[in-house]
Amino acid sequence: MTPNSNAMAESREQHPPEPGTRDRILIAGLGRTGLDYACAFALHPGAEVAGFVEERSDLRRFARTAGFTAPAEATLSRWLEKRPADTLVVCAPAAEAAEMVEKGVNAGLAVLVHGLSAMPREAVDRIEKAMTLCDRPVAAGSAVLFQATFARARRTGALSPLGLQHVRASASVSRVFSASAARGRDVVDFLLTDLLLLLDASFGPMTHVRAQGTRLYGDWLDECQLEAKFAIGLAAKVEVSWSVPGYPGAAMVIEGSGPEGRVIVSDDALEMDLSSLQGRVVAASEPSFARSEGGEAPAVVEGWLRALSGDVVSAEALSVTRALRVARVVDAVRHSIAADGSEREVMS
Amino acid sequence: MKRSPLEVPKLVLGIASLALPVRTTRDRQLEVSARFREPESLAVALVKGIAAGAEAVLAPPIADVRNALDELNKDLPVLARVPHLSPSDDLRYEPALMFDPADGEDASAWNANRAGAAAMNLLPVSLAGDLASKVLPRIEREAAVFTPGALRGIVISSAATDLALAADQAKFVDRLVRVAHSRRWLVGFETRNLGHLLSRLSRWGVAPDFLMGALNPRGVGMMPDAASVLAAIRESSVKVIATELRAGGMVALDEGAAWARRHGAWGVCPELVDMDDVPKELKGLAIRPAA
Repeated sequence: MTPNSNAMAESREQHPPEPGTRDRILIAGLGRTGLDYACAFALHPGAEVAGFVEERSDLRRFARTAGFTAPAEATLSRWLEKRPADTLVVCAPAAEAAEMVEKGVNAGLAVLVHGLSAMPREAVDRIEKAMTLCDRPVAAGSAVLFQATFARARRTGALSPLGLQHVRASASVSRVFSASAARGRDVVDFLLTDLLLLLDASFGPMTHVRAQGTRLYGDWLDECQLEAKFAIGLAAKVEVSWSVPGYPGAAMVIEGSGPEGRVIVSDDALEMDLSSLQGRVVAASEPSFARSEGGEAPAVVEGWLRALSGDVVSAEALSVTRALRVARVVDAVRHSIAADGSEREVMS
Repeated sequence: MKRSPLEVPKLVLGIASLALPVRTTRDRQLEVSARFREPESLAVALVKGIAAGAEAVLAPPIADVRNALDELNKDLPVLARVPHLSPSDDLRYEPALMFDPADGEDASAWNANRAGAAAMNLLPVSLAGDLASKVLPRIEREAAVFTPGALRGIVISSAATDLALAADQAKFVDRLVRVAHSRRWLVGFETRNLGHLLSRLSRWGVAPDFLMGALNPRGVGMMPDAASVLAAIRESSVKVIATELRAGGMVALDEGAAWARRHGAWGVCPELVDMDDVPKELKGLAIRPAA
């Protein structure tokens, strides 16, 4: 499949943006994340929220209650019969997302999919197939790839696999104690997926995984430990848990060490004690990337609009190829857990 | 008892960091959370904070705060931060404000609220209500967590404010201001997008008692950017109570507060995570006049 950044570059030649025009955004899926995207696009001068597609009438009604007056339809086909749009942002549940992407591609829209890496295999395969056929820009949105300190670590090469021999990564949050816990989710899709995206962005594709999962409070996975092998020969030990008290927001850490020294990246800070790089950068000191705050969407929205204008760094952070790779790692992790921790190859 | 008109406070002690993610290091948040785990220790900090010069406590309506206030034999002035959304609302697919916890969590429950919600689902989308009507019952119920003698006003949390901002809902602000004033409450709006909201309020022609938003020398959390926020403050007559004074820990509290006041903030709101010695540091902020 053509890498996302290449698809964007090719598309710009076919559909050059006109100066002064705003990207007309059609948001499919009016759950929490879809509404986050609506807010972020509405507060961005480079875009306008053209409308919404949502099967559930209660969610369409809530968007109207919130005050969004853009037209909303129950189906994408019905919306597109009546109006034009430039970009389809798919925030729908996985069961509906694949069909949305297929229809969006067929309609000639640029497509941004949120949460692709956490989707089940069948949806991922359909979305990959549809996006392969797309000649407009395509992207996979994930806020974690715009997180300031991890982005700085990648930009400066602090996490360059050269010189690193040992890598450990962890993610913790307090969620399992909530009454809303396990509404069809577990720690793998809620937390592990984001950490795997960061690991892939730092060290490249993973080829094999060996994973164990723990169910502490019910039928769903609350903790997960895995060993991941990368194509470059590196291995990483990874731990995630959503049963750690005192963590209202997710905390992620990647720590690498080797003959060159040691580097620790977390959402708090980047600490480098390497022969080539020294110093500490705190997250708050990094310049703001987005033009608004709130929820998961603002940085992705800024990245999307910058990518459309030719910013290759933003396009890389929105890579569909990476999101698809990580979705397959997640699939391998689940198979390994089901097989009592035996090693599984990541399907390519 | 007749109350005198309420003044917008110039120094507010924020304690939302006990329950919500804030821009500080993980270690710092864990440390503060542990320090105030016992209701008695939080109660002591609140009493001393008010004695040191804080004019109100910005408090979420959570059990920890309620328990701390129950330890005291007098009312402390409270600004209730409502509606209160839990961080774990991100487990849901649906937007958090769509639900009222009073409706119950059990999907199998069939109570009056659920019957009403089900009936509403039969209505066409065009008959949707407005956001103020949606959140008002919740706001009133959560504000009632605090005793009437303590409650000075409400601060609408950023989740609701910024949704109305993005949806261009002047009516939301206007309606909540009317309702709050009819109860003789102050009403402020917390936002994570201060520059956007100040500009929008000018266009809307509505004015709440105050806004709360990030204002600090490093521009951290100032949206859409620091220059736009400062320009919007200069051009607006709406009072701003500055938050995130320490810019995520990069500047000293007194430096951040002085900078915010110098740049047009009416008041400042340091959070528990911003202070090691709550009464001492609040006293330092209280005695410095606005530049």
